[in-house]
Parts: sequence; C-alpha cells; structure tokens
Amino acid sequence: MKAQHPRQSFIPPIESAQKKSKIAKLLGLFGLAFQKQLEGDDSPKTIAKQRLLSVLQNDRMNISPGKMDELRHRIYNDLVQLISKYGEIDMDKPDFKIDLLTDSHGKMQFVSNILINRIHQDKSN
Amino acid sequence: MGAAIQHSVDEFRGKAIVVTSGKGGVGKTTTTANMGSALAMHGSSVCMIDADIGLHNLDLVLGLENRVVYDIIDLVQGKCKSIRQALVKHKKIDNLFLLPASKARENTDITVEQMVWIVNQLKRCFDFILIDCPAGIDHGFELSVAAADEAWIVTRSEVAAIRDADKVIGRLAQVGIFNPQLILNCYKPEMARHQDMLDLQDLKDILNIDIIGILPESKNVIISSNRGVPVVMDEASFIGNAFHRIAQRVLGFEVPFENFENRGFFTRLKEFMGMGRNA
Repeated sequence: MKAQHPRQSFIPPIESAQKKSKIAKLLGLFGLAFQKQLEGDDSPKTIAKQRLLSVLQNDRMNISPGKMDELRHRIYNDLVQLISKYGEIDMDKPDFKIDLLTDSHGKMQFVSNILINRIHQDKSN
Repeated sequence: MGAAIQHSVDEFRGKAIVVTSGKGGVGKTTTTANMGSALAMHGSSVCMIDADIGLHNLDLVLGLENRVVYDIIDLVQGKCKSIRQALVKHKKIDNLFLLPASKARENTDITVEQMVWIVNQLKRCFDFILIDCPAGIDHGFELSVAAADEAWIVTRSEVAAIRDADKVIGRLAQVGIFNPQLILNCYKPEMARHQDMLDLQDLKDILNIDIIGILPESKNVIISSNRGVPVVMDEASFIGNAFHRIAQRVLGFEVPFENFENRGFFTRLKEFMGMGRNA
C-alpha cells in the first residue's frame, strides 16, 4: 500500500504569510483590522502547533509517519470488516476516519467514526 | 538500585529536583543557578549538584569557579573526608551550596547507585537539592533523574525544544516522575501577541503539563552570568523578579502569572497603526 506522507500537508507557507503581513502594514491604520483576516491560519504559531502535534504523535509511539499511516489503514480495514458483520456501513460518504491520539506518557487511543446506515436485523439477535 | 531508592524515604527532609530539558542551550544551568539562589534567599537551604560532568558550567554561572577544590567524582572515589568537604559555599547567599563537577571527568566515572547515595545523604541536611542535568537522554540523564523526586523541564517556545521536552516527559514517566513542571524560558510576549510564537496555552495543549513559571527574554541574564552573580540578587530587575516568583510558587505560595499584556498607550497606538510588528 502506498501511503501518502501525512506531513506533506504541513509544509509551512511562511512566505505568503509575510507577504500578507506586509500588505497589512501598508494599509496602516486599517492594517490591524485586516491583518488577522489576511493571515488567517497561516500564522507561524498555528503552523508550529500543527507540525508539533503531528510530529509528537510519531515520537511518542516511536513509529515512523509512513508506518503509522499504514497501521491506520490496516486497522481501519479490519474495523470495516468487523462492523460489516453487524451493520451496513455507509461507504458513499468519505467522512470516516481513524485517528490516533497520544499523551506525553505514551498512552494511546484510537478514535474512529464509521457511519452505519442500518444494523442487520437477523444477525443482531 | 530499587532497594537503594526505596530505603526509608521518610527520614529525608529534603526534596530532590532535577532540572532538565532534553535539548541543549535552553537555559538549564542558568535556571538551576537562579532558582537555587532564589530559594536560598527565601530562607531554604539549597544544594545544587552539577550532574553535567563533562561540560559543567554551574560553578562559572554562580561565580564559584575559583573555589572548587573537590568534585563529585572525588567524593565517589573517597578522596574527601565527608560530603561537606566537597561542597562549595556561595560567597554572598547563605545556605547555598554547590557540589561541583570537573572537566577532567566523564559521567561514566559515577554510577547511578552512587548518585542516589549522594543525593540521599544531601536530603538529610538540605531542603532542596537541585540537579543540573546535561543535555540529551543518555547516561548523564539517567544519572540525574535516578535520585530525583520531582522534575522541572526548561524549554523555549520553539519547535525543536518543545519536541525534546516531550521526549523527556516520556522518559521521566518511565522512571516514575509523573508530574514534571514546565519553566518557559526566553519568552517573547511581543512575538506571542503577534501569533509568531507559541504561547503558554499552546504549550499546555501540546505537552499536557503544568507550568510553574515564565521567564521573559532578558539581557540581564547574560550580564549577570558574565559577572558570575545570579540575576536573582538584583531583585529590582524584571527577570530576577520572575525567578523569585517561581521560587515562591515552589514554596507553596499562590503567585499569579506575569501579565505581559500591560502595555502603555503609545505602544498600543503604534501597534494599532501597524508599526508595532517586528519592532
């Protein structure tokens, strides 16, 4: 399975943020009002937080980002198989996901939401 | 080793605190020196141990480099008559002592058991034993945390330091230190206000840790370590005051956190005009 590198989405667009803040400066008095909107979520603080949260997940589990993604896929497929025995999974909505949350003590928690249309009546009895 | 640590802890009055960070250069030694001094100035008896045995600098920051006679390895090898003989007393602050390290040594010259023994001996006669941990998480780190009851993690608000701090928090949990406390060093309120730097709340969210103090960036820290006088002795300085406030929190007093938002009218006007940024 060729997993997409999960951290590729976190390439920091710092240059654009700086450009935008220059625009905000040029606007002077109105700059303050526009600054926040112009910068949006590109602020160095937000980027740093996102990147750290991502990299710490892998550090805490002592697992590389690629392996982590593979693991997530495998667990997800297993879960789909398991739950399909009891109910009909809504595969049309690409809304389901599986996340792994960790704390600094190395405790992990898989969190997943899988949409189910209905429960198989015969099997649930 | 377990037996040595568990050996009737009740008879020790002191508390051993390791000052650690993972990453180098974030201010462990400066924090140790100043926190030790501040606690001693508040009336506690304090002994600092320089556990950074190959690259020790605590003596230099404290201005005690010329008074060092014996070091921690001499003590371990039985070259001193007593622990007291190896300790260096501070010139100006009462009840402040240093157990120095020496450059000619390596941290493999001392075992974890020996370190635990030394700290336990010191706990009988001091209120606080501050252990200045080396950077990294190898033998020097193990040595420093083995005898510690608590830990302070010094970090800066930058990604590399925070990542290493997280690693250290995990390692500390492995040796049974579950509630380390964070000291945020070199904080730049101006940058945090402009969303250029992670702030206190972000650090709490990311590291999931209690914060015991914030130290704003200050020229006075460099000036005072150049002089060999802890910056806490200058109680009028903002940074000295910040250390004293942390010391008070350590001693159990409720001290509110610094309010960095307290700016003058002109600063705010400048910022409003968009001129404050990067100024």
